[in-house]
Amino acid sequence: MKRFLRLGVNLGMSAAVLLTAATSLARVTWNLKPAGMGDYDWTLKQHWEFNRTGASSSLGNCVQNCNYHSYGADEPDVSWGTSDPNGNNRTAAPECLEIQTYAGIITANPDTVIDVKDQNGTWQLVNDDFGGGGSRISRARIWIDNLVTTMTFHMRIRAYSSVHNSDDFYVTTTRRDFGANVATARAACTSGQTTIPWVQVTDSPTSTVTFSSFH
Amino acid sequence: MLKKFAMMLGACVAALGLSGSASAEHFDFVPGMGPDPRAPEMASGDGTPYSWYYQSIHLDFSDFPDGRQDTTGHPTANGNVPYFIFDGTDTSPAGHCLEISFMGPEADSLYPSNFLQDLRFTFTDSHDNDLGWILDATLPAFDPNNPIQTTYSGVARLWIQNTGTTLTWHTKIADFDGNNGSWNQSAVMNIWRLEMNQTTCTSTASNNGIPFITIIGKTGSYTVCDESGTCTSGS
Repeated sequence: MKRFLRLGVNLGMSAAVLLTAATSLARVTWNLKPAGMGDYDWTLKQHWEFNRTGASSSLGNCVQNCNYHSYGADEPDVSWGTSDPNGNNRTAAPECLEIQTYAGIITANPDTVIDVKDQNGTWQLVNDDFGGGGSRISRARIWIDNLVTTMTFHMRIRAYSSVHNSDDFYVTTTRRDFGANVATARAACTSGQTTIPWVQVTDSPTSTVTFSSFH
Repeated sequence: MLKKFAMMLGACVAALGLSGSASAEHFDFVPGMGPDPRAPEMASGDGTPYSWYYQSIHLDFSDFPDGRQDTTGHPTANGNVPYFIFDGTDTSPAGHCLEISFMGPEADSLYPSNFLQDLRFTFTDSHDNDLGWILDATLPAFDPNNPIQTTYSGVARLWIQNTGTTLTWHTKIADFDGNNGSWNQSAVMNIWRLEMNQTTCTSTASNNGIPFITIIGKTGSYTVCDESGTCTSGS
């Protein structure tokens, strides 16, 4: 799981450059109230490489050969809890998360794709090449509703194609505070805007995943 | 010796293709994997708009050997010390109670040593030099069949409060027995924002044996105090 010291990197790179990169990469940054946002918004920034293999998708023609980085049990994951073993309610408020990839240390324009599984277990594209103009980074919003019974949500950031399996990138997860009114906040996060592709995950009565009509 | 045995055993498991990583790719909401249920004051009423839980930030120490020693007088490092920096800014005037928990990663497909010995959580200056100690912990291997008992082995709280335009703070998470990264160890960090004021944040931590520090002030002039009341100036 050498996520940061990439295999395939030019081995002729100077030791000084490698030392600098290693130091700067080993960092997780949490910024509270990022510029232009509210007192309770935050951004968590990490450096990633694709650390898993075998993603398939028709977009980019991945036939089980694209690398990816998952959100999950041993990867970044935002959870709103559930009942604890004593039956106490631990469910927190619904949240709007914004996921975005950025240029990495080595890869200036990483070609990333954000996928989310629908309720049938099929990976669906949420965003590729956000912003146009030759940019290959990705951006998406995820609305996670209150947990009612049981909810499982699968998301990954993958290489557009196997050519980009060694790309490195930064990724930020930003909690967006759109107010305490759930309906208003949900709309502001998702269907009320047409700039950032979105996914809405609800758990009433069973887990449902709704995608924006644009990618 | 124990680590070497575990690594050898793990290598055999990996070679047999029995890695547990296949269960990893999900964004899950399942019992036992939420915030530490052993924190009794959190048993209910935490569903506020500003509480949140960011789970499973993977810290792979094997990639980051570093030769720095800390100055807190705790156990001597075994070789160089790989570490991660966990830092950030706060421009909000609201105070924030963060509960930071560490646990061993789920079975690692490449590196078999899935427990971590001598993790050290410190607060540092802006140059990543240690100023004080927050927590030492040894993290057992994660057992998906017994997640509560095998997680949250290392828990600490930070009270962060900006009193100026911006507060910039710095902490370090080191694998003090990392032996220059050669143990190939990793850990998982979870961040839980608790909807509490400073008094409740620290008093409930103290009552439950959870170490804590407070970081209060502004960039260039802030004070870090530990649970014993010992304070250090930061910048």
